[in-house]
Amino acid sequence: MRLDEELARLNRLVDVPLRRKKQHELATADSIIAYARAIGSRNPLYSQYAYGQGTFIGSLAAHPTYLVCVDSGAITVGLSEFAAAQVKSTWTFMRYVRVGDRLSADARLKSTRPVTTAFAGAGYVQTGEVVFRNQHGFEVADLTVEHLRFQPEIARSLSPYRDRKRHRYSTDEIEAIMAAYEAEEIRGEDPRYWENVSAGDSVGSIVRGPLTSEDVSLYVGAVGDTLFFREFVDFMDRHPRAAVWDDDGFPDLWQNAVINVELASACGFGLPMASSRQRSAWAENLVTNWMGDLALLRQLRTKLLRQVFYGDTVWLDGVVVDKSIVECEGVSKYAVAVKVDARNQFGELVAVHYAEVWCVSHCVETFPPVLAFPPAFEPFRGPPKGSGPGRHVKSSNRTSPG
Amino acid sequence: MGSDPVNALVISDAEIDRIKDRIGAWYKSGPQYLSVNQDDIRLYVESTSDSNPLYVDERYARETRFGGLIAPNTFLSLIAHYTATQIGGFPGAHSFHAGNRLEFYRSVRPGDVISPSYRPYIVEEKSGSFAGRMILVDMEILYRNQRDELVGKAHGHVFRLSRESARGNGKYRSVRRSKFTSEDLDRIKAAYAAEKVRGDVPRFWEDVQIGDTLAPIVRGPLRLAEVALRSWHGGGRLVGAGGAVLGAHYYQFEEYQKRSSFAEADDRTGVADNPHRGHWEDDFARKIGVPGAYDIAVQRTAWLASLLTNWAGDAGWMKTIWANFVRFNVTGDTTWAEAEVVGKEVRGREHHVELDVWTTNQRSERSTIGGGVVVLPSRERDFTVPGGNF
Repeated sequence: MRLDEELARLNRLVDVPLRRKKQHELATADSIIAYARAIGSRNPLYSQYAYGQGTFIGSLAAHPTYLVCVDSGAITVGLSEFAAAQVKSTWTFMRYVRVGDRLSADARLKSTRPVTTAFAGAGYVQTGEVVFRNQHGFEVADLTVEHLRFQPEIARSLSPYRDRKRHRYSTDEIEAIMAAYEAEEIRGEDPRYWENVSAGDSVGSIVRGPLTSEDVSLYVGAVGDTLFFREFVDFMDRHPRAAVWDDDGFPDLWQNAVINVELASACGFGLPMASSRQRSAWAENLVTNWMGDLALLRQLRTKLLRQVFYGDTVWLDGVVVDKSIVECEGVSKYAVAVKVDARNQFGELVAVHYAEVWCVSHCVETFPPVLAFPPAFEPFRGPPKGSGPGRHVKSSNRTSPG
Repeated sequence: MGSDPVNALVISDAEIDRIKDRIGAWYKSGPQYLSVNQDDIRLYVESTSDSNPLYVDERYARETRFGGLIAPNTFLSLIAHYTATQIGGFPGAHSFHAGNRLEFYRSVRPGDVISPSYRPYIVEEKSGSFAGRMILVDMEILYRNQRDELVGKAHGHVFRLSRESARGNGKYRSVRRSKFTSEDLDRIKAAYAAEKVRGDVPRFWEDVQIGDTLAPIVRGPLRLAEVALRSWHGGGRLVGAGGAVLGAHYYQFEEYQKRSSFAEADDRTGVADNPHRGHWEDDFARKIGVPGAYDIAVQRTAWLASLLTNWAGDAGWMKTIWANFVRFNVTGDTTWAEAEVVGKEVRGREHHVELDVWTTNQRSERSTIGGGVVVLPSRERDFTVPGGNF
C-alpha cells in the first residue's frame, strides 16, 4: 500500500473502536501487587493486601497507572514500517481500581499528523485515546497518548543516542542511590490536607535505577501485551511489514527494542531503554506517595524528552506549583497541581510530569473527598465532557507551572 | 575435581555438607497466589501457545467432565517454580535447571488457593563437560489446595556450578545462532496451523498401540520476548528466571543487600544485578558459557505437556511428565516437541499409556529427553481417570 493510501486508511479509522489484544480483565490482588513491585513501589495501599483492606477503600487498591495492564495504551495503527515511541500521555482518573474489579477498555485512534524531528526526520504523531470502565460500566480513567512514528533507518543515522553506552557508577554514586531508596517517603494514612499545602512545597523525590534489564522486563511483562510464539507468528502472517528482520533473518517486532539490544540499535539507540509507560508510572509513584491514601490522583500528564537507557538512573523531584478549588459536577474539589522533573545521572531533563491531586480539606463535610464508589453507592459521573480535569473556580498561591 | 580453584571456591566440601544437612526438612514457600483466576490461566496458556479451549473457553469447559475451566497441570510452576534454586547455598555458584518430574493428582481451577511446601531431596556431587565439578540438588515440592488435598508433586533438580568454569570449558563455543529463512518460517507457520487438539473426542486406551507416534508440535522461533516477558502471571512475577525475580528497583537493592553473594554485578555499570539474567541477556548468557539467552526449562516441560494433553483429549489425564534438559534452547532456536507410545498397562482402574517425550531443535539436536504417563478412558472395562474431582 502506498503511503498516501495508508494515511487515507488511517483517517478512516479515526474513532473506530480498535481490536486489542486481551490483557487483564480482572484486577486481582496478585496482579496489583506485582504491578506495584514492577514499578518499585513500596506504598502499602497498592502493595500490601491487609493494609489496603484497612483503608477507607476497603481493599487493596491498584496504582492508578495499573490500567496499562488492561490496555497498554500503545495505539500505533498502520505505518508498519515505522517504529513507535511514546512521547506524551495524559491520564485522567475517576475511580479507584480495587481487587475484584472487572475492567474493560475502549481504544481508538484520534489522529495521525505529520511531524519532523531532529531525532528521526520526517515521521508522524499518532494520537489515541483509551477509556477504561469497570464492571458497573462506570468510567475509571481516560488515557490520551501520543506516539512518534519514525523511520528506523533515518533514526540510525540521525539519532544522538546511537553510541550510547551504560554508565559506569562510582561507589559514591551507588551509595547515594541506595540512600535515596531508603529515604523514600510514603505519606500513607496520614491525611494531607489541602489547607496545609502551599505552592513551592516540595513533593519529595524518588530514584529509579540504575535501570536493569529486569526492571524493564518486569514492567513490560506485567503489562501483558506481549505476543508469544503462535500469536507472534500469526501476527507476522497478517502484518508482514510489521516484522523486523535481523542480519540472521530472524524476525521480531519494534516494540521489543526495550529488551533487545539489536532491535534498539536498529531503531537508532545504542541500548535498550525503559518503557515510556513505566516512566509515567514512576512519576505517579512519587505523587501517590506524597498525597497519602485519602487523596485522589486526578490527572497525570507526561512529556518525555529523552530516552532512559539500561544503566541510567532517574531522579524524580516534585514541587507544588498551584492549589485551587475546582468544581466537578457541583462538588468542590480541593486541587493541588504538582510538577515533577525527571533527570538522569548526567543531570539531563528526561521527562516533565504534571499532576493534579484532589486532597482532603478541613472545609468539606464529606470525608474523604472522593470515594471508591462500591456498587451500592451513587456513582460519581466524572467531569462534564471536554472540561478537562475540572473547572477552576478559585485559585490561590499560583506559581508558574513552568 | 578440586583442581579448578574458582570452582573449588564456590563448590566447597563444607558447603556441600551444610546443604546436605538440610535434606528432609520441609519448608513452606507460601502461595504466590491469593487465588487462581481465569486471567492468569489465560495468560499462562498464551505464553505456552496451548490452544486447548478447556483452559479458556468457559462454555466449552462447562460441558466437559471438569464442569468448568481448569488450568493446565503445569500451571503449578507458576505457583511455585519447581526448580531447586529455593534450596539456596553455594554462594556465587550458578544454577542451571537440569530436569524435573511432575505428578498431577487433581485439577486446579479458578478460585483455588494452592500452598506449596518443599524440601531438599538429593544433594550429590557430579562432574560434566560443561563445567567440571557440579552439585546436583534435587527438591521435592508438594502442592496442596485450600481443602488440603494434594494437587501435585514435583521434583526439580538443578546443577550448581561455577560460572567461570562453565565459560572456560567452552562446551558451546562452536554453537552459532542459526540463519533463519523464509522456508523455516513457513514450516513453523504450517506446524502451528496443523496442531491438533483432540478436545472433547475421547481417546480410548484400547485404540492406542505401542509404537504410535504423536504429531510433533512446534514452539518457536524463540525470541527474547518469550523468555523475558513470559508474563505467566499477570504481574510478571515469573518473568525471566521463573520465581527468582525479585521486583524492580528498590526490591533488587534490598535483596542484594541481604544476599550479596547472590548478585552478579554488571561489569559495565558496576551495579549488582540478577545472576539469572542469562535468560534475558545474550551477553550475560555468553559470560556463563551459553551461546545466547536461553529459555526457562519449565517452558519446555509445558510444551511437552501440551503435546500430551492435546493428544489425550479432555477425557484423559496427564498424570506424570518428566524431562531432562540436555541442551540449551537459545534465542533463535525453534523447538519441536515429539512423543512415542512405549508402553500400556492397567493399574487398578486406571488405564495407563507410557510415552517417551523429547524435543528437537532446528539443528536436529535433542534438547530434552523425558517421558510421561497419560491415563485414558477404556472402551471395554471399568475405568477411572483422575482430574475431574469436583
